[in-house]
Amino acid sequence: MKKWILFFCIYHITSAEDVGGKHINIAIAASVQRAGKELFTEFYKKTGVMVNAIYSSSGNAVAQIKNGAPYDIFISADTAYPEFLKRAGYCDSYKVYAKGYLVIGTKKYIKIDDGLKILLSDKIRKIAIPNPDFAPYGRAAMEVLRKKGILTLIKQKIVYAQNVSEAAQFIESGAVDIGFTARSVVLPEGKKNREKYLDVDSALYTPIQQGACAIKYGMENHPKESKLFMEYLLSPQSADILEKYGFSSPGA
Amino acid sequence: MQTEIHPGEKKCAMIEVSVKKKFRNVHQDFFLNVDFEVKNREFMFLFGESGAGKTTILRMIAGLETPDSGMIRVDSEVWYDSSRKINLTPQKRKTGFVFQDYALFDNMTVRQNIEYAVHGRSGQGKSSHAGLGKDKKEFIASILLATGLEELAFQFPCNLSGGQMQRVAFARAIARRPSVFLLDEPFSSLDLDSRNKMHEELKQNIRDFSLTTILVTHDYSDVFKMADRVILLKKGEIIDTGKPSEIFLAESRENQFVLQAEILEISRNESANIFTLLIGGNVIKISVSESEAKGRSAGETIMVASRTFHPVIVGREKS
Amino acid sequence: MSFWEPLFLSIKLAILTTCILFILGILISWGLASLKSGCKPFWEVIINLPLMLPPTVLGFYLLIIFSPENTVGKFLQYYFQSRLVFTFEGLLFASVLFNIPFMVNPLLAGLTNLPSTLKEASSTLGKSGFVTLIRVLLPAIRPSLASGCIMTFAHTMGEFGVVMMIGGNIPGETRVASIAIYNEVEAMNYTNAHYYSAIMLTFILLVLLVLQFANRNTSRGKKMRHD
Repeated sequence: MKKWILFFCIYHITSAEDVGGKHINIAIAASVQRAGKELFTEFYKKTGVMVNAIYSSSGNAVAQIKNGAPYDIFISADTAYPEFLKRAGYCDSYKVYAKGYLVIGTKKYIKIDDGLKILLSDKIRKIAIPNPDFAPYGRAAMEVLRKKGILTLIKQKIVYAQNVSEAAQFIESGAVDIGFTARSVVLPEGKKNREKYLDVDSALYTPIQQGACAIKYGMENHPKESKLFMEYLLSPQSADILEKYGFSSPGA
Repeated sequence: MQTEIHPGEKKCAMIEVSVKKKFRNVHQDFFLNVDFEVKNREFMFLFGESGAGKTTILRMIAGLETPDSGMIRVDSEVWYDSSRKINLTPQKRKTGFVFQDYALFDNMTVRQNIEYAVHGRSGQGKSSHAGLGKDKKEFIASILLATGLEELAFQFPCNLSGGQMQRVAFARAIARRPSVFLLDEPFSSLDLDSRNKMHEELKQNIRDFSLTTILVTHDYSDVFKMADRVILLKKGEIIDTGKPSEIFLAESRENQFVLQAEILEISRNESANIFTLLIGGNVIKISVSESEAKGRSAGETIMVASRTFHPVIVGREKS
Repeated sequence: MSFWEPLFLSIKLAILTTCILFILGILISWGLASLKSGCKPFWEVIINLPLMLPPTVLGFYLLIIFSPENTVGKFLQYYFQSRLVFTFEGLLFASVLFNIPFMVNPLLAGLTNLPSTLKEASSTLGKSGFVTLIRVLLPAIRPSLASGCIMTFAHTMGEFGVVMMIGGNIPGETRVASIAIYNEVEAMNYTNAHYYSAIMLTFILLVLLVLQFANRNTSRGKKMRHD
């Protein structure tokens, strides 16, 4: 009998029930995770709605949403994923909430030239890039390399990270000599570190438009809260926070 | 047939054993303290109840266990000497050991088991019959013949009967050309008939190959049929040594039978104790006096002697 | 042929891991089997760590240890001009490390369950410990050897966490089938993900069936001689 009572209590404590206030589940892409933390805190302060953040890869999140995962909002790093969900009928529409920027960084004491010719040197043995098959920043990086005419020459040096966070981790741990990642992963600088991150000329790649949408689950179960969040995400207050983390507003 | 299978071998294999060891028996600790000799080509028996230390002594001679102190010398070669810190590994001691469970190698045929013992120095080359020298091949053939294993040479141990497995164990140990032939209760898992047959065969083999042998047993029939000399062991100490007849039939007179019996059951009626005994495959009931019955229990092995015995032969039994 | 590449890579990794661990596993389990009982529990815990640890933990630590920034990584880079992260060799190393319990546990169980008289008989017959191992002990534990190889092979085929951490997802080098499946799901190429998964499943089932069948045949063969 005691066992059942214990089980019952644990189940209730751990299950995602509304305990007092309202709350919503938001699946958020790697490049926005750091900014997301601050966004969610401010949102709570403003509206009293708690955000349960799910740090999942976008592809994973999409697959789960298709199979009925209880996510209210999906914050992506591109527009391809939200577009897919829209076509599949899991959301009505999506909005671009920010523009992301590609940076290149290294722990080595080398100078990164404009032509990125440094990538060809023998000092650089491994280059980290987020996987272009599914990461928008990876696609952007490949675009840059192609435009600079060095992609084929350095292809065998490339190491594919799962996302911009992993790419940054490879760079910071020195596992790779140099790598591409999102500006939002490294700004604002918290700790003193030896990495140098430089903006990659934005003319070299298609602008990274990051989209977000309210999922069908959210519209059906927490319509008010989901709407509130989407409005907040597109508000000037949110734009300020995003800018702090290296994004710019969609139009810019 | 008494043939010298390998002439030219040293004639003088004498074993001197003087060892002490403290060890834990199932019930209590006790001290093993023995000092004895075995002469060249002698067939010596270590006799005693379970736990008396017989197997331990055998293993110490083979180098599988180390005494606490003492000396073991074979053929004027020192195998173990605690004062000089000499302790030869089993590999360096030329012993032929027959284990109670035979320890045959199931992945090898009978022939291969024997070849394993014969082949050159330890670790040298593969055991293929083709690779062996001519005299080694002849030696193996002689062993197979002597132990009656010719027909079974290409069988695997898992297909053999108990008696056949034992012969292989003998053959393998003999093939080592050992200075000392050591057998640990070799007949314990055989039935009575096989046992009796093996007694003769073993004795013959030992003669044929001129082996100096120490055999451990707790069975009287083994002793009487084969031993040159017996060492009686009790709780780790030698309490007697001599010929079997001297030791066990000390009080014998003519016309007396002395039989080894196993107590199957002890019961009492108003006047006497009735012991149900198993003697040589026969079940017999005898009545026993109070003093004789004292301290006995079922499962114990005892010696039964008859006071007067005037046998008469009646009829014949077709065997 | 880039569709089949991850599958061949997985098989290559599994075969090489099994071969290396076959030898390494025999040595480790032989060593452990000969240990006095005092030290044994400690070593058994160490050996079984990969079973308990999440693969990502191992991958994470390997990444740090072998990063060219740190001592070991620097050493490797300087003397061997190579690194153990983002290379097939690195995967192989991690895979061998991670699969140790799968090879050692069956072998150790097999060896310790052998009657000690086998080893003793061999030593009284003049054979060194090593010869005894090769000619007596290992043949006696053939089922354990088979079991260890099967487990190692199957487990390596499915290895994901460690490869994820230190592989770098490089096509033809470290993009094994398990990673490829994950990739395809990420990129929403569900059809490809289905193909990879189905092929992997079928392949492993076939391998396991064949090995089980072969194992039964050898033991049946031995029984049949018992007439």
